[in-house]
Amino acid sequence: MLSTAEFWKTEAAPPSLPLFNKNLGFALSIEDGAKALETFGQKWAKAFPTAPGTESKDGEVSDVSEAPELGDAGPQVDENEDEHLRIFRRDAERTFKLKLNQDQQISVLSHYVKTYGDYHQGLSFVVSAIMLVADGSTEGKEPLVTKKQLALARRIATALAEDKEKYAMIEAWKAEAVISAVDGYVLMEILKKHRPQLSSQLERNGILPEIWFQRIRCGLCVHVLPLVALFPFLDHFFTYGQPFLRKFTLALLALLETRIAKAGNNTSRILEIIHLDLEVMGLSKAELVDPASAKTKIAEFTDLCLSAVNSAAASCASSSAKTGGSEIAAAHEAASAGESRSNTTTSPSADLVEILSAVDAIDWAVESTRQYDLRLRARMERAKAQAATKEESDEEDEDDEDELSDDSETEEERLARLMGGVTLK
Amino acid sequence: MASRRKPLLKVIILGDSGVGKTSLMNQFVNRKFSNQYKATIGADFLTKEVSVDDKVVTMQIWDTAGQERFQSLGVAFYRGADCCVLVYDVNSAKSFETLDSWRDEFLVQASPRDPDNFPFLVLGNKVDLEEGRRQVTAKRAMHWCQSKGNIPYFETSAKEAINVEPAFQAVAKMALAQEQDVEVEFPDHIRVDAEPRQSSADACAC
Repeated sequence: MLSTAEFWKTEAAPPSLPLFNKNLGFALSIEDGAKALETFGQKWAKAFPTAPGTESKDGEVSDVSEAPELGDAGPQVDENEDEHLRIFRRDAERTFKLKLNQDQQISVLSHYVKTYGDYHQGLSFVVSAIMLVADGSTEGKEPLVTKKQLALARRIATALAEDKEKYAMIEAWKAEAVISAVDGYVLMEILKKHRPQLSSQLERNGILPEIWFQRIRCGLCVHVLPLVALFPFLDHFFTYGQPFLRKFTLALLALLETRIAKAGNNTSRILEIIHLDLEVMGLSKAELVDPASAKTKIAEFTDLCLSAVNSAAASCASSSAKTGGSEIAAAHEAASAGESRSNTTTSPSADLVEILSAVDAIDWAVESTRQYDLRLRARMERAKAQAATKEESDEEDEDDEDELSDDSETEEERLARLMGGVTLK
Repeated sequence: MASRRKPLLKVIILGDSGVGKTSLMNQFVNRKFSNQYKATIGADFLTKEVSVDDKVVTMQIWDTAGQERFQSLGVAFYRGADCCVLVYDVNSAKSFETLDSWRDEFLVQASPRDPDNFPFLVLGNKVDLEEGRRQVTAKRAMHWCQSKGNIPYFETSAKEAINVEPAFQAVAKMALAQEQDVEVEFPDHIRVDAEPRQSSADACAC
């Protein structure tokens, strides 16, 4: 999309798309778009294998039942019958301006839900970002989205879901993405050990992982990072998987530590800093309107984002070299041979190395199970306490007893059912 | 940095995805509307100082993700809430029908000391859209509110700033009655917004 003139006349014309809210003039031109397509879109098209039976070798979708003809109205949404379709429509309307493009995004999301049965809105973010850099050259004519773009977005979403060990996105793209909360709490444990003051400040102010970590874990930083850092972020995530995402999160928090410390107990400000809200990053409203007046500040913001991305990537590269690297990482590296890369070889600053290495040092499965159990036990205790309170209340009010059904599920039973029958003692 | 005691009212906004939770919060706090808000993932919040019966209080308004569920592990940030705002879209019957589950889920997750008397408020949003699209009548909504212990009900439009201010003033009043003062250290530069504009539309308080 980014490389087509028509895109810049329509979708990219003011008012800007939410996808561009953090770009402020950089990486926002047809030239930058073409470069992004060449650097990332083409690379990803090579790196992610075509799904057998669904797409031909050149990336065209052959299964037209799954990918509507371009120009079709797309799925008709009956909001009262299909909740997923209702949300897809809402999400697409908040992503692209043209209905044609909204419909194509919906077709990718529909395919995913048909295959995996669940959905998280982070997926719509990721799909829209991939569509931006997929090859959509139409010589300036509509449609702006091509089947190649749909194929790439669908292929990557499928690959991220299917590789449960490397990406585990099938767990993250669920309405109830338990993995994002658990992973976030594991990261907070590492932070507590290596950045105790920062950890204490976040905990004191109630900045819990389930408030902010989904944007990284489920949304893969779309709407968090500016495009100039987002595409390298996605590229490294595709290469290294979850270890990169974990290291990036810790690197970002560490790089923001001074800013967060200055925010004291201003909870709102702390959250805005972690979300990389532009005004909190030092850019005034006037500068947001006229980015040319704030080139230095914008460069500082961009550098901070890229520093977190590159530090995490360098740490992953170092770990990968020690272990011999994976075949998939090697395939990605081969696909990028000869292409310009972001500064993946930039070494993290010395103070970051230790905390990033901590990700490799722990047994993630053991630690995440421990965090999960801790939270589940706490949840069960609260449920028991609430049930006891309700019982007392019911005994005091006989009228309430009539409303209780003998076969109604207790909170404890409901939790046990949700957890697949597991009951903690 | 100054330190002083000040009532901090924690308010949670819940409702299905796309009903306008983010827009309502931004209309109240920043007095602006955009149809370009991205979907909320995780949670976000804004703060605003308001006067309730000549007492200045700080509202901490939590905007939540309508599509996410955290039933098994719970939602820690619900705890300590002083009021819960349930939002639905008057043009979507489904979003109204899920109010029950949002209310129940909040009570389970937040575990308030007195769940039977915890303050809720219902907003029927997007009343600015053409009449033919409406799927939930005010009467139906008010009947539901009555059945849940006379929950106050307002019909709003975040886009047209209809009833947003009165609704959140009611929220502040209910939350203040619920809350216990907490020790909070506020920085001197905390954002204090100008008085919001008055909305002209009617409120239904049943």
